[in-house]
Amino acid sequence: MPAIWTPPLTWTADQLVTAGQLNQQIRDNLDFLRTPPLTRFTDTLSGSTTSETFVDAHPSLRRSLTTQGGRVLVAASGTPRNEYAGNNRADFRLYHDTLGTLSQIQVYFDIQYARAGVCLVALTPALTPGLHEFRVQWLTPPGRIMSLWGVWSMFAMEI
Amino acid sequence: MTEAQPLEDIEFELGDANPPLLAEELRAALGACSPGVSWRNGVMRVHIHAPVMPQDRARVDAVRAAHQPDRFTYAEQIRADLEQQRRDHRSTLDPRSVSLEALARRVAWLESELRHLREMEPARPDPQPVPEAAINGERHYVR
Repeated sequence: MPAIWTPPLTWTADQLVTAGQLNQQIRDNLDFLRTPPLTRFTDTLSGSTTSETFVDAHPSLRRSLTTQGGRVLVAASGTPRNEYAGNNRADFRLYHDTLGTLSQIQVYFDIQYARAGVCLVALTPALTPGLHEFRVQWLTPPGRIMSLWGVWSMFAMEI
Repeated sequence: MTEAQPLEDIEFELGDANPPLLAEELRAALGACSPGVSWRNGVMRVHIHAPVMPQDRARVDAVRAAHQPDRFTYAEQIRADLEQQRRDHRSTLDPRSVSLEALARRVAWLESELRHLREMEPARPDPQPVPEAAINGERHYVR
């Protein structure tokens, strides 16, 4: 059962506080702060693209999170590899359907099979409570091929 | 930032297809209606600017039917040639008996190896190399 966040009350002098209020205001809110909504993934991934517009990089790099109105810290990292026999470029971004691009990075490769570390980090503004989806998307210039290579990680956490 | 036009995918099992070659063939056949393809776990997704039209599916089917998986892409041909040349020049030259012709061949091969390492092969006419001037004026080299 995920922890529930309740906006803190402002207490007044001589106010009678019930056990239910204390449980909600202290226990549940501390529980939420200690274990906020979180989705995460780490594993070896494979996949390739020739897309010159942004497309989802991999189903595992598409994380859903049910939030309670706070901001969300999103991060993803991994290693793309250039499959094209020549120089190449890869653009990666963290994407949210409503907010659009949260973070973007561009990496250049001089030779085929060159690899690069990519790390994307973003902090959203406060989001409306509910289900939110965060994705890693990528593209490569026309006629090029780019691959996921090795271990990739991603998490999204309400803060 | 301008968001791209929505995409829809046409999916199919790759089977014994050569994915990079099939990607090139699909690109040539579909032109501007497709920004490219992606593949993983034996499944290829052809990205199409929405909506997917029946003629898009027909073109994809035609490319798949004509696909010859034993053919090489330009990149694969370069790699295959390079590996063949390395096999051809695996032996050590004996300075006491090497012919001028053999020496010249070895030098030519070394030159081509260096050219490859320095990414100096004759540029393929299409696509053009990535422009030197990167977005935001920043460039990251990776070797």
